[in-house]
Amino acid sequence: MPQRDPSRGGLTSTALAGLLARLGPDEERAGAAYEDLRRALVAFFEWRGAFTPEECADESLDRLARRLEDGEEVRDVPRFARGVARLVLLEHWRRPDARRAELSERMASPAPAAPDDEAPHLCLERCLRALADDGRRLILDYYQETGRARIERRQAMARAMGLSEAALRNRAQRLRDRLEACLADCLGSGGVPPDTKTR
Amino acid sequence: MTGWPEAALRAYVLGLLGEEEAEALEIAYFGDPDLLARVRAAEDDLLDDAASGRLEAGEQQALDGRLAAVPRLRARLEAARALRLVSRERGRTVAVRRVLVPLALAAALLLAVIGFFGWGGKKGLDASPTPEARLGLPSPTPVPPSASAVPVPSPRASDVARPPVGRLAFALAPTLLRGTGRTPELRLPPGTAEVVLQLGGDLGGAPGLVAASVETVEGAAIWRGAARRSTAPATAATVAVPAERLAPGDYLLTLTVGGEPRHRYFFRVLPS
Repeated sequence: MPQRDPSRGGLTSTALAGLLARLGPDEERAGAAYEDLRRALVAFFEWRGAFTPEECADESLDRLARRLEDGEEVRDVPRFARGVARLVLLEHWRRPDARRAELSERMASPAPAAPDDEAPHLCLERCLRALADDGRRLILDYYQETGRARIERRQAMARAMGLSEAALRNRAQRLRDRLEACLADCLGSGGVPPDTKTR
Repeated sequence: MTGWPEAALRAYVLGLLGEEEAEALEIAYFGDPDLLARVRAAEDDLLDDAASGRLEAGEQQALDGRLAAVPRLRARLEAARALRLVSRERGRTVAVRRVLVPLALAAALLLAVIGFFGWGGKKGLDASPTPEARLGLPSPTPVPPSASAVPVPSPRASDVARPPVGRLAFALAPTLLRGTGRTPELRLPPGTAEVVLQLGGDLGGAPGLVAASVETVEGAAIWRGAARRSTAPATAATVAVPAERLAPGDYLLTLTVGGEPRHRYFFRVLPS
């Protein structure tokens, strides 16, 4: 189930329950749909260039829940959610602190590597080693090639693994997300990656 | 719209899709996690193509705009670049093993045959006094740092009988995972014979022959040869690359010491 603080931004537990009820027929499916919608919102704000995508996504969910609680008739939740998200984005741009967030994020972004700084490469090697063998092989194979050769390679991989192309893509994406997260942790801790085997 | 084509997804993540279509796509992926995954995969592939220097000019321009605005995208691009490097290095290691193991066996067999017939007492053919000469390459001459890639005439007595020589000095910083995402660009004016690359970094007193290899980002070998250790601060080595080898395109230079990679450098040669 979603881990939210119903008191945040004035969102009541009734409003959250109403949103969940609208998203799925039972607790489990509603929770999964909620997480899917939140992922889509975060991605939307990232692709639209918001500086605080997670915050904007939560604000959108809160508003969506409140609108439902207020009795607004919503026939198409994705369309409605996208409309709410667009308004949140416009307001985000107008806020003076959006510019400050941009500046602080730019200042916190990695500086160019010092000439003798081998840490990034070491981090990548270590993060790859932290993956299980089959995961490491998969991610290195999956992101080989370009263009048509890449498509054919992935089709062949999916066939060999007995997976659909979509399932293979999801698996590769999860691995890549973990690898990027590991890299970020490793670089932030002076070259020490999380020592967890992950698939 | 149903069945979103990859090209539309790619245009979307670049911010190149028309507003109406972008809105339709967003509504669609808000209700379809599989479509969202496809859009994310399109972004991954885009970053991989960018890391390989395979974006078309319009795409590159659009991505540059996004990179300037979204720091976390820059970090993702550097991760993609590192991932591609590792993938390619591993692929090449396997390929080299496939070629070298039979070659080594053949060479051993040949040496055994030569030894059997008593030809082994001859002096080796390699009598070159310097590593540079052994590699059959011009010995690079260090030049002062040059931030502006302007050709520097090199009037040497030994050049008199040769065609006019233009030398271009260019400084490169090592690129690994971090960076601004901008690839150093180099334009070679007509008449440029040699490109002297000053390679930033530190060899740390590591023993062994210092060498450099240049390849395209797709992994095609372009040139390899000796590099000269540098005593200048924050400069690992200098290397002279024949300009004729550097057609417009993106390149990866690997600096090795004793055969072990030490630093890597990306650069782009623009049409003159």
